[in-house]
Amino acid sequence: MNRKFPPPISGEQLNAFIDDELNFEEKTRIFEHLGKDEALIRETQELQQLRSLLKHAYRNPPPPPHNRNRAVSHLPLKGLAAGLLLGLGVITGWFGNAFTDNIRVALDGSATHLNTVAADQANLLLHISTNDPARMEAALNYAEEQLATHRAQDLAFRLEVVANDGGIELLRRDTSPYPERIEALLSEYDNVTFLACANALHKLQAQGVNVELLPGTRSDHTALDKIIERLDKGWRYIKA
Amino acid sequence: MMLLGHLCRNREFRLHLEKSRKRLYRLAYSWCHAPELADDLTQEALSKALKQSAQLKDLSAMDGWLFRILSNCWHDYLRSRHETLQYDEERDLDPVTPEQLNLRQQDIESVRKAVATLTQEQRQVITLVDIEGCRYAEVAEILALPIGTVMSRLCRARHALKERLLTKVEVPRRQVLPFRRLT
Repeated sequence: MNRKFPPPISGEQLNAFIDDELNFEEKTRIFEHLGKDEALIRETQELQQLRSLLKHAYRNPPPPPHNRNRAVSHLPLKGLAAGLLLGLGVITGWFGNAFTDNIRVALDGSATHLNTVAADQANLLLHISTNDPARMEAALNYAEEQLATHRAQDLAFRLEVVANDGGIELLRRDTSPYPERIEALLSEYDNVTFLACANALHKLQAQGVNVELLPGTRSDHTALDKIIERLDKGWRYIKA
Repeated sequence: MMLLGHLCRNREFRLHLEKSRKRLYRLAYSWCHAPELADDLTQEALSKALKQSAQLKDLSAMDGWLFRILSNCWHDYLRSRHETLQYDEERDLDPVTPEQLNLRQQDIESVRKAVATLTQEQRQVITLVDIEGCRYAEVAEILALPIGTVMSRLCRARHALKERLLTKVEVPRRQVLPFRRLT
């Protein structure tokens, strides 16, 4: 195939040889030819060189862009009826990206949007990873609305707000823009919890930041573990 | 005990899934050469993997299973963007010369450009073999192809790359020495 060399050694066989895909007899036969055919040796070396080039060229691909608006996905939307895919930004480098079928939910009239996924159960995990006060406010508005709605309809419901990265600031005593609202939610509802990612706290502490969380908030899990755990149980996932 | 086993398996599955992200992204990038699209494909594949985790019976076969999911995502994308595929396969890229091959960044780009000129079928096979180190049988399973097709696509892909990357100008070569078997 495209080789200057006639049979008995085909291009496919030579490729299989450099990929170590041949059995002992086949290898022996090729070694015999290599011993007497300089052009074949050269071609074999070129194939090996090519393989190295390719491996090297993709060793460090350009990183995916950060802070993407995933509402504009390159992939075809499949529609909610297809079963709303899980938002597994979770497993990514750090969740900036809840991907999949994105539903834009305008919150509180602001331009903030949420990506929602996997809506087959009522319980909700609300994930905040930014210190943008508008998003924090939107998240709290949504949390309050959900809690109130489910209580009004007497529906079983649990809500977990998980913060990591910049979102940790929402739960820090010295930085939270909304400590009273969080305190009020915790005192009014026993079905809501606020979790600060343990990893994010460790990072801050490693940087010498003395983190004190708001009363009633927790940090006994990493955000990743918690989100995966909840997704696994069929909770809805919303990223503010 | 069954519950414990299930939990352990789930944990192992998730850890492996997390670790696989980089590889999936790299592979997706080698197919589409667009970081945003590669990112989307990776996310899609991870999402599907999590949803379909029960289908994976043997965790040791997880890499191939993930690559197969990624490949399906890529084909779904290509089907939905047929015009992109045609453009991709027909575009005329600048020729790459061997002088460019000292593995600096622009050289890396040259290799990637050359890979991008392959048909997407050839690209998938060669990247699975050369970048991910898959065996031919694994590639055949991932792409649902006969092994003979894998071999012929790989051969054509390497030949095309060789033409593009190594034969434009006479490259200084190492001295050609006879191969010797190691015993």
